[in-house]
Parts: sequence; structure tokens; C-alpha cells
Amino acid sequence: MAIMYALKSSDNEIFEVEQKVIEQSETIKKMIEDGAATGEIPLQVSSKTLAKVLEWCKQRQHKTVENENDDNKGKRKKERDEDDDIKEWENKFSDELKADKDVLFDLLLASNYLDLPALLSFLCQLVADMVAGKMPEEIRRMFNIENDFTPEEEKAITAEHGWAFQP
Amino acid sequence: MELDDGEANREDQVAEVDRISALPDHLAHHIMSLLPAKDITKTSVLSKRWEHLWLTYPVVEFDEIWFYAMQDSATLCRTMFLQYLRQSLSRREFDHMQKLRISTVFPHNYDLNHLVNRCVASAILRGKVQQLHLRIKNPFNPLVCDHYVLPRVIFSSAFSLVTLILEDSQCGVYNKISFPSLKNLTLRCVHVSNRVIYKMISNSPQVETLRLEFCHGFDTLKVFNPILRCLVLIGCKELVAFEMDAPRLNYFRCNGIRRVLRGNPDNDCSEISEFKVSNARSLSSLATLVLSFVKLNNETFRSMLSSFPNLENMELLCSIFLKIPSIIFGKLKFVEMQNCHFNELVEFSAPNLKTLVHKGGQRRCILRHFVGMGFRSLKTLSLVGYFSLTDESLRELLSSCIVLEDLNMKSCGMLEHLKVTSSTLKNLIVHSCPSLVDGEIQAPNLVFFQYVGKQAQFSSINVSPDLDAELHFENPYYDIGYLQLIELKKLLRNFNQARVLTIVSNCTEFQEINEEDIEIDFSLDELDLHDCIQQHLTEVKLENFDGCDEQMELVTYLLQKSQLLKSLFISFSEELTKAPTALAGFVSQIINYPKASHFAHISFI
Repeated sequence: MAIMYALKSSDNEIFEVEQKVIEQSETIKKMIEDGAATGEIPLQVSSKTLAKVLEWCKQRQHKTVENENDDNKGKRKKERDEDDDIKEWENKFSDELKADKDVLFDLLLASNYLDLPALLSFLCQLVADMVAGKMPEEIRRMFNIENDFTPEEEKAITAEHGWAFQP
Repeated sequence: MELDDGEANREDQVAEVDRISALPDHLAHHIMSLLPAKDITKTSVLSKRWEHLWLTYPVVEFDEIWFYAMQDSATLCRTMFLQYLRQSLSRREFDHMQKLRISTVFPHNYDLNHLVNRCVASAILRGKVQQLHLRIKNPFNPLVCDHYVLPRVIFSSAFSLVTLILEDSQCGVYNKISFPSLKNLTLRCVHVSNRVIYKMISNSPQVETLRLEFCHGFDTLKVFNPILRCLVLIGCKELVAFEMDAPRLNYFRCNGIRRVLRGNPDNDCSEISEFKVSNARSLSSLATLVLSFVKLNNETFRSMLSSFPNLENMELLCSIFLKIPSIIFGKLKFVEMQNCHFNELVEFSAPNLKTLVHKGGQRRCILRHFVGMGFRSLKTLSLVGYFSLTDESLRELLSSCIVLEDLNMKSCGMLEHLKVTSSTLKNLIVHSCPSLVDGEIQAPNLVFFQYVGKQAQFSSINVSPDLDAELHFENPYYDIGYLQLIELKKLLRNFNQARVLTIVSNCTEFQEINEEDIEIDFSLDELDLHDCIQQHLTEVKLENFDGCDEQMELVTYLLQKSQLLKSLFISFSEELTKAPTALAGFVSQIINYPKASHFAHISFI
């Protein structure tokens, strides 16, 4: 029987989760090891974000468990199929996040707070891919960044980095 | 999981807020680190917040190639680069700098050197920079004295440096050389003297990886370092002598240079004439040795190999040796020899060798175990382009491999009669051996057999009932026609025991039977496959089906005869898929054919 832990979100919702799933988070793992985790583990993460975090952790958990159980025969094909499945799942996951940037950044901050390096890298890469190759105006529009430079200041900076604005 | 509607609405409303700029610096920098330099620089113009993020970004790069893309005049390009360097130097915050990279396209000049030195010194003297990568182009003339001289500060004061990569340019004369934190050192095309390289290695107490690529100015490499784990030398053409004491060294790679000598048909390689170690433990951790394009005489090769008591992997590529020294390689597990020149006999005494790969080599070379030792642990043997492998020498080689599991032979030109007798062999691959006419395989545990080449006989086959056999008949000149039908028939009979038999011929893939080829030249009754088809055939795949009479005949035949047929896959040709009425006609026709097997399932793809 797997050991279960109760996680409490900042808005007081309780999530029952298997130990193996939440131990991917170094922060929670430490809390458990330090014995601070009797009863509910309080987290500074909203229920909506926590649900998303756990969705990710469960998917990662499946992946590692399946790999362990593999025997050698026919592994290559199976791995390929699995990779495809994971890709598909990740694509769906990223599309949802791209559509709702608030969730994306809540999740990014949560992955930093919970110390989930794999999720953090995945999300940073996601944001980087959104930014890459775009002109400043497009990036500002995408993330609602307010341009607080005067036109003169902006012109001076653009001129200084002329090479980067070449097509 | 329940979704709180109220919260969802609230979050929708605040979606207009700029979240990305509110990220803490280190997360924003993490995102920036995943972008190309051009995109990183562009973010500085987004807003004041992003300008600050750019100025404090710990990775600072200046590459002249950015300006070369805008301006192909060397002088203008250099002017723009220098101006950019100067401006950035005054604005960027060196206190945060962890990595500095400066790379130029055009030969150095006074102004550039001055700025680069200033920049490097400011970075190093702050004591935070962990990685430095300098690539300062030399002038086009080959005189070393005109090369950029690496500044003293790098060698004397780089206390925080973990990774140092220096390219082009030269080392000067330095009194003090010390790299207390350095873990990775790479010198590429750098001119460096015996003394400086020796001091750099000895005075880097943390260094784990050392790479010297196409460096010159030194002929003796003294490696005295208790921590070094990986040593890679590539194309250091003047290097001839080694003195080593590196008890932790685990990986050693030495790639020489091939010299094409006039009047000499054989290529020559860089010669290593001396290899000295301080004591018997000096290189006792070395597990992997890779030598390529080097030449070693017997004595040096012997003193080199005998200083590696724990060697596990050895790769010898395109090198010249007289012979393998007759020492016992007790720990050796993997050996690959590729295009090496040896004396006639290559004898090994490696009782624990698991994998032996032999590729190419000169025509006279004969590979064999050292008399009396045998390859008693060898599991995998791969012989590729082994010209001088005769039937006799193969038999002798195989008889010394008592636990062999995988045998892979490719392009072994002299092999005529393949005779494999082994109770342990599991996988056998015979690929493009042009002289092969017959094969006898007595391997009761063989589960995988792949043959690629012209049609050959396999007159005697005794294998595991689980055999998965693939026969690829590749013959560019003629199809399987009348002439070879009889052979094919015999062949199929010999593989009667196989669980899966795949025959592939000239681009058409089929299982058990290739309809593309069979339908062309003969009617099916001529090919006496009844036994095989009646009693063994379980799965048939027909590709490129276009419904011509011969193919329909084949399908009728298969369904009528095969008593054990489980599945028949038919994939239609492109033309047929464009004619749905005709296709539907064929489908209903095929479904209604009489079937010998009660559980035959027909799938259309």
C-alpha cells in the first residue's frame, strides 16, 4: 500500500497524494524528512495551480515506473510509442498553458517554490520558445509588457544593439 | 479535481497583468539562458525592467560574427564590433558576470587587444567569473610571433574560473601560473610551450578534463596531476613524448594526424616515440584508451599498454603498430580495431574480453587469440571489411570463442562457405559478403538471423524454433527469376523451423512470400511451397496491392492452402486508393474467397 500525504493549498483545499508522486518536489521531500509533515502539509500554492502541478508529477511518475518495469524484449518499439505518448501529453499540457498565461506563470513560480527542476526547465523552455525570434513589439503584446521608455531612449537602445534587430 | 468557478473568473479578469516582468531575476535569467544571443539582446529594449535584466544577465558574450552578418567589409565590421564592446563595457555590470565569451572573425589588432585585455581583466579581477572563452583570430600569416598573446591575468589571478576555453592566439612567458578552481581546460589551435602546458596542468589542482586540439609549440606533454580524469589530445602535430603521473585518469584519447607521404603508398601517422610513467600506479585508473592516426613502435606500445593495468576499453583507429604486445589484458572487455596496420598476426590474450570489433585493416592481417588463451569470455564478435578472413581463419577464430552470442560479419570479401557451429550463438548477421555461396549453421539457440547479399544457399540449417530470420536479397542486376527459383524453394525448406521468416528483395518487403516478385515470372504451382504454406504460414503482408490477376490469384492461393493463417494484411497501391469503387469490389471479392484456416483474419490498410 502506497503511503499517502495530504497537501493543503493556500485556499485550504486538501489533496491526497502518493508519496512517490510528491517526492519529486525537493521542498516537500525535505519537509517530510524533517518530520514537519505530520498531518497536512501546508503549501503556499493555490488549489488551481497545485492541481496542475500534481497533473505533471503524476505523468512523470508513470513514465519512470513504466521504464523500470520494462524488460529488454521489444523495448525499442515500446519506448518509441511511449515517447510519442509523452510528447502528445506534453503538447496538450503546453497548449493549455499558452492559452492561459496566468496559469503558466503561477505554475512557473510554484515549480520554483516546490523545487521541481524538471517542471521548471520545461516551463522556462516553453516561455523561451514563445519569445524566440519575435520582435519586441510582438513580445510586449503577447505578455502585456508596458513600454516605459521614452521614444528617444528606445531609439538609443535599439541603435546600440543594431545587430540584434537585423532580420 | 473540482474547479473553483469563482477563482477561475477572478483569474480571467487579471489576465491583463504583465506576469513575465514580475518574475524574480533568477527566473527571468533562466528563461533568457534558453534563448539565442540575438533574442537575449532584443529583450533589453522591451522595458526598463528588461533593460535591468539584460545589464545584470550573468552571461556576457561578444561575437564579431554578429556584425559580419550586417557588414562584410572587415574594417567597418571591426569598427562596429569595437564600438559595441566599448559601450557594453561601460554599461554591463561585471559584478554579476559568471561567463564571458569573446570571439572574433578578423585578425586581431592593437585596439582590439587593448579592449579584450581590459574586459578580461575586469571580469577576472572581480573574482566571480566561472567560465571564460576567448577566441582571438590570428593574422593570416603563419608566424607565431604575430599571434595574440594571452594576457597574464588569466594565468595568475583566475581564482574563480571553472571552465577555460582558449582558441587561436598564443601563451607568453608567465612566472605565475595557477588555476585553483579550474575543472575543464580546453586549448584549441593555441601555441603553448612545454613549460607552460606542464605548469598549467600541474597547477590546476581541481582539473578533471583537459582537451588540447591542434595545439603546437610543445613536443613533450608532462601530465602530473592527481585529479585529472579525462585527457583528450587531437592533432597536436609536434607532440612525440609523454611523461605521465595521473592516478585518477580514466579516459585517454590521442588522435594524431595522418601524413600523406610522397612516393609512399601507405599513409604515415604522427609517431609517439616515448611514453614514460613515474611508477606502476601512475595510470592505474585508466579504463578507456582511444588511439587514432598514431604510429607506435613495439617498445613504446608495450610500455604504454603495460602502464594500464585496469584497461577495460581499447579503440585503435587508423593507426600503425607492428604487433599487440604479448601482455595479458586481464580487465579488457571491449576492443575495436579499425583500419589499423599491424604486422601479419594480431594476437591477443584477453581472457575477459566481451566484445571484439575488427573493421578494415590491411589485406594480410590475421586476427587470432594468443596461443593457449582463447577468447573464453567473448560474447560479441564483429568483423567488418575484414578482407583476409578466409573460411579457415574464421573457423579457427570461432573455435576459440566458446561462449559467443552475437556474430556480425559484413563485407568479408574472401568468405565462401560460412560454417558456424555454436551452442551459445543467439544472433547472427551476415551482410554483403560478395563471395559467399553457401552457409551451414548449426546453432540450436540461434533466435535471430539476418542475411543481406546476393542469393546464397543455406544448405544445412539447425536453429532454435524461435528463429526470426530475415533474408534480404539485394541484387542490382536481376530480379529473382526462373534461375533462382529452385534455390529459393530450397532455402524456404531449410528455414522450415523458423518462427518468422522475412524475405526482402529489391525494395519490396514481404513476409514469407514476396508477391511482387513471385507474380512476375511464374505461376504459383511451380513453386512447391505447399508444405511450408500449409503448415507454417501464419501471417502474410502484401504491399502495394493493385488487384491485378496475378495478385488476386496469389491471395486465392494463400487463403485456400494455409491452414494456420492468422492474419493477412493487404495494403493497397496509391492508384487503387484513388478508385474507391474498384477497391470496394476487390475487398468484397477477397472476403468471399474460400479459406482453409478457420481463424484467418483479413485486414485492409
